[in-house]
Amino acid sequence: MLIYFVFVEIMSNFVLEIFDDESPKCQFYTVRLDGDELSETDKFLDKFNRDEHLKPYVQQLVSFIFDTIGIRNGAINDFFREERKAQALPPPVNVKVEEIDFGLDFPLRLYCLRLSDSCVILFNGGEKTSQRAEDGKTSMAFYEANQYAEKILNLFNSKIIRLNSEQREIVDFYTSEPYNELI
Amino acid sequence: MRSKIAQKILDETPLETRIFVAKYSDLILRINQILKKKGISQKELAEGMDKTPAEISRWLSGNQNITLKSIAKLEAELGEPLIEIPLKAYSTRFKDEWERFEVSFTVEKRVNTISEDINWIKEDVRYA
Repeated sequence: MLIYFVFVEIMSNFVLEIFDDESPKCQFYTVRLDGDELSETDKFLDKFNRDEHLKPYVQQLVSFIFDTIGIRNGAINDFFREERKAQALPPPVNVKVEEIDFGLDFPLRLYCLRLSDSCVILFNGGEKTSQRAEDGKTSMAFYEANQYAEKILNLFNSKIIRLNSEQREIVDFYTSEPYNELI
Repeated sequence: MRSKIAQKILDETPLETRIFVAKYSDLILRINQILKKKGISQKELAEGMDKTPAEISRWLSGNQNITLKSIAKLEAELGEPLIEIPLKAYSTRFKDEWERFEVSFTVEKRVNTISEDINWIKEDVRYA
């Protein structure tokens, strides 16, 4: 129970930051907990890139993110697997936490929130030890991803942030400036 | 701006890995495109090939090397080519005083509809 409360406390403070804005077909964001040096996605990549067995898969995943999604195709349906319905949120924004889908037998899961074909927020992930995201080693990362997603989507639905006209950049709803506030 | 850690990993990624990822994702897109066009589910595809859906998924999982034979089986079942070998502008003399050139290219067209409706137009142009 203590862990849960600490987690809730941590979850109340994070920032959305650019993970990649150089790729022409998709802009990637990530989340970074207040006070942390690394973003959640960087933690995921750094951790598994140090594992000699999983390093080749991390390289495949990074190439898939940047080369396939970012440069060639955008964030189209074929590359994502829906994990579960997000919290029941009213329109206008009602999207779900998904997993970047690089095949059934791929040993890593990376969770994300796909806001459009041109805008994806990457979270953390883990090593796939079960077929369902809720189970195994990725369960905590999956839970966290849903918590981040809920808070971010609430900002959309509360008209605090929105996507810009190109559906690529997350901006302040009224000023259209990049949104840098703690969430 | 790009994550330094991600960029470092990408820089260290062997070219063959990046080529594999590109080919694999193209193959998945192509298969999904044909399945959608023909209204066939992955389950129906599996049944047609006398395989289980799990076996088909594993074929397409990226971690197993899909063989040329497997691709041929898929092409036969789907009735459409999945991969093409780019024989760039080769010429063949096939008749006195005539020379045949064949070229192929892909046209990418930006449309304002949702991703499912994006059409990839592929044309083979033959000059003889």
